[in-house]
Amino acid sequence: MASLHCVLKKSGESLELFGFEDVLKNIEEAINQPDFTPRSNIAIIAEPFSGRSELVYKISEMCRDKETKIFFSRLVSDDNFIDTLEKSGDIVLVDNCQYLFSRNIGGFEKLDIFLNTVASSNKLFITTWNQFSWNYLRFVYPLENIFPVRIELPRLGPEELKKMVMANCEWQMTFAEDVIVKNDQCFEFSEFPVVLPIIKRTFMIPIPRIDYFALKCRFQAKIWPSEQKDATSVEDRVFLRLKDVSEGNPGVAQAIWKKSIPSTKGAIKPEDIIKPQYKIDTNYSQAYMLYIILCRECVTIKELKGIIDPNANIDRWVYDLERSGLISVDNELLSIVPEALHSIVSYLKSMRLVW
Amino acid sequence: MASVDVISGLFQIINPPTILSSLAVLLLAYAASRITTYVLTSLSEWNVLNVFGLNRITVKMLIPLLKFTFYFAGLYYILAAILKIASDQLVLFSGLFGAGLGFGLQGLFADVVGGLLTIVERPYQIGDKITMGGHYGEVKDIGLRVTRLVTPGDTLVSVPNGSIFQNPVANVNAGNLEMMVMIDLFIDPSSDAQKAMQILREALLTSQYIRLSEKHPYVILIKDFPFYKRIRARGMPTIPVMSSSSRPM
Repeated sequence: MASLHCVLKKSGESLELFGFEDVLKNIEEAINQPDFTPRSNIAIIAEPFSGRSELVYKISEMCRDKETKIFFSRLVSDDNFIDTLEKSGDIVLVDNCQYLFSRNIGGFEKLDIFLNTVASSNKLFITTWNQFSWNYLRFVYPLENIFPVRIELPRLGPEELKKMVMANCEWQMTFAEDVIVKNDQCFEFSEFPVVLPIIKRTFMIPIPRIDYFALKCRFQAKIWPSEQKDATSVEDRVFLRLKDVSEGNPGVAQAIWKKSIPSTKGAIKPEDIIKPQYKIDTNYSQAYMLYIILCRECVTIKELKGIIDPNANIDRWVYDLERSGLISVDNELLSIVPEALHSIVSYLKSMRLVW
Repeated sequence: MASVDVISGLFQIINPPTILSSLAVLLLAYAASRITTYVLTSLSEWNVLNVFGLNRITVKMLIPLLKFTFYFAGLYYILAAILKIASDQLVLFSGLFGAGLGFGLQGLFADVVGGLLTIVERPYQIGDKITMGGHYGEVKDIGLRVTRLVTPGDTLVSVPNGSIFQNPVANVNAGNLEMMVMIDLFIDPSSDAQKAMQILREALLTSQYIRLSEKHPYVILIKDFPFYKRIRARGMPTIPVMSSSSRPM
């Protein structure tokens, strides 16, 4: 899984986090309640790459040694975490709870144990969940009763993304205007001769031709109306575009930034920020496999074979998805490529696998 | 004598140029309906539709409506603008049409009216899983005369629209993208029913086709019978969307 160092910046011993000030304030209030009454376990829900784990680090700093941290990074296969839960401090931080279950028969045992412990404990549990796993599990378990406080991580705005990128940039950035040629005609008609075979007459048929550059300019003008364009600097428009293409997800924004703007780049223009385009075409089972990777965030082929039909040609499907640039395979661990996240979600919504 | 004039007038109207023009209009209507079908079918598979809150079935439902519109507009144009039929000729034409119906076109007429009623009443829509005229399958097309179903065995069946007047139509999902399925499991009375219920519940919840939401609940039921117990699971699996590479053309 790609780490999100982009959201964090080491400043002495402390970690700097951008864009989650309100979330941290709410959590601080919950932590500072005497005896945590009313006890309101917290579920932090967010899509992949949105900085959940980094938020847990930050919360851990606020807890001042009252907490026990449990970080899951793979499917939980043993019961060691139960001992840790029993011997934990007053506050228990559990990151990536989606690793507590597997979507197959018998795959909910660990989650059952965990939820029973949470429900019967007097401690305050602050947990993080993959948004797509949560959306599925909330109809399987009464999660909303067990975690009465649910916090969805906000999407970052252009200002926050700017701070994040600037904080991690080690080279001097300069910005330049896009070259926009004023041309109102997006369509031009040219005549195409058609000869009718029987009467042997030639007719000129007007055929519309699209001026893609003019269309692009008009589209850009629509995104950034003239007032806004006058009001904001080129720098702001670069980050506004980054926010648009990444939908405010810090991990996706960082990946797109790295891909679009190499360190050797000269002046940066808004049009340099490239929106990743993916053509996804899979069968239903392959799309389901993609959905499992999206929900789990990090999964092995062996685990996939336990979830999907073992007779399915999963190795070939994985190869196809990797070749399409949708997933990355690192040491047999499969994960979603950050910049492909929103294309995948959109596709899975059309396949009715994500809702 | 007057009726002879009307008949001779009608035959004067029907001459080679008007026949050719009428054929051209029908051809145009046919081409327009084919192009519309192609465009809307392609459009219905676009992911972008989700952004507008549309799904493929909503878009495909427009196809039969537009087809009927094109054909009836074409017919109206032929009668009003090409043949320029006067009111007395129209009465005569209706009489001839009625006689035609009596002699053998009533089946065709019933099918066309059945198609129209299908558009208005919507007992089924494109994409629904229905049983019609003794055939079960997914509705692929609602035409002027026939409804085309694709059976689970991938056979294309054309059922005349008129059959909705004689036989009931059973619609499994009625326009929804999911349909209820029921699975029964029978166990020995001495077996661990709780365990069996848990397994069946997990089998249902972990299916790749299951859809869970407030609108799509699931239920596990148990019932005692004299010599066995029946565990029944009810859930709402989604009807998988076939990708373009796997979709039959």
